Amino acid sequence: MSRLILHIDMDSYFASVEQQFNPYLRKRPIGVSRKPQDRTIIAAASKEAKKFGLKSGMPVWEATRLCPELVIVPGHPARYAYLTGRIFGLLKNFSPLFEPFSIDEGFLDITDVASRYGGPEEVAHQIKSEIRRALGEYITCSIGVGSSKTIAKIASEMRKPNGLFWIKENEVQNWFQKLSVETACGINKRLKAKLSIMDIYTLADLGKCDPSRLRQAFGIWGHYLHLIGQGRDPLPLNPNYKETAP
Amino acid sequence: MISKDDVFIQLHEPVSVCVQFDDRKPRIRKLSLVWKGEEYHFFRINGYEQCSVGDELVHKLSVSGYKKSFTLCLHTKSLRWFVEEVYERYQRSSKPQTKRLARGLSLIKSVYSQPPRHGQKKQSRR
Repeated sequence: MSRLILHIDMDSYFASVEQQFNPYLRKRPIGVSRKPQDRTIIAAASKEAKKFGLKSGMPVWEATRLCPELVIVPGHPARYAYLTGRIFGLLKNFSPLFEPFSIDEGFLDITDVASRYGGPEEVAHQIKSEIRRALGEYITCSIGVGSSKTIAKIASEMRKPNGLFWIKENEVQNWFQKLSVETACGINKRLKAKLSIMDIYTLADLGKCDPSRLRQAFGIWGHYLHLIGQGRDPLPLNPNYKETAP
Repeated sequence: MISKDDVFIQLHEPVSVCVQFDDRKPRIRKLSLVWKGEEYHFFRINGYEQCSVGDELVHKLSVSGYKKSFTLCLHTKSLRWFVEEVYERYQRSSKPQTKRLARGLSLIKSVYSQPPRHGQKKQSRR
């Protein structure tokens, strides 16, 4: 039996937390930054600001040029950390097999508990309502369901914001034929350019490619890439994962 | 904050707070505070967080009322309330809009202030 993995990703996390805590910032383009100076960058942009083409990591001067009505809000790191702790606690109530991926996303293995709730989509709906009830109506998340972490992450990216999408196991190859290699986590523009030289454009091409050829070109990462192309996880879900300081 | 419409102040000043808790639901029913001699009533609690300062637990509440939003914190050892953030939004008034609005208001006034004509009254009664 294949596994059922959920990828839960908070939508414009820092910005939506600020909008939840301050209702006067809602429905306005906002950017979260440390200080409202031209030299700093925007750590997160709200859903409204993203419509103007703003992205996380963009310099403030560039963001204000793209969106003159942008409101720069100072961030609250302690607040985000506390709310992340609450969200992760809520997710662990559904299944103990939870792996945090970053401050606003994580993977949840619901293989053994999905039937109890009536299926993975029902679990996802319940997670969404629990988060809304505990944190507020403005903090939303996108959830992707898949048989591996890679597929679940691709699924959650496909329905943003506040979406839910399930890539079933028999549909994986159909989707992989349509999706560019860049949609998979860990493949950036530079790697995409290198893969395109090898005539690899889609995720299906990556899965079909000879693994020894990939290994020759990229080393151990080539082996991981081949597994990603086949919809398998290079690194399985690790519930005991803890970030350690270097 | 880069916006002419917004005023955002970060501070740490003690305030007088009056909170009424609900006995039926786990929620706050009423919250008002007195800050700089002015009394503010809040109708919404938008968010809650807690943190620790040393060994002291601090509860933080984000509340909003008319045009203003506050972040209040309760220090559990000293049982004192402090205001940490004040946010206020000003509505920018543009001249053409106010002119148009004034013209519209004067038109409405002139229509309603006119005494009804006798002929019209009779017609409407029939």
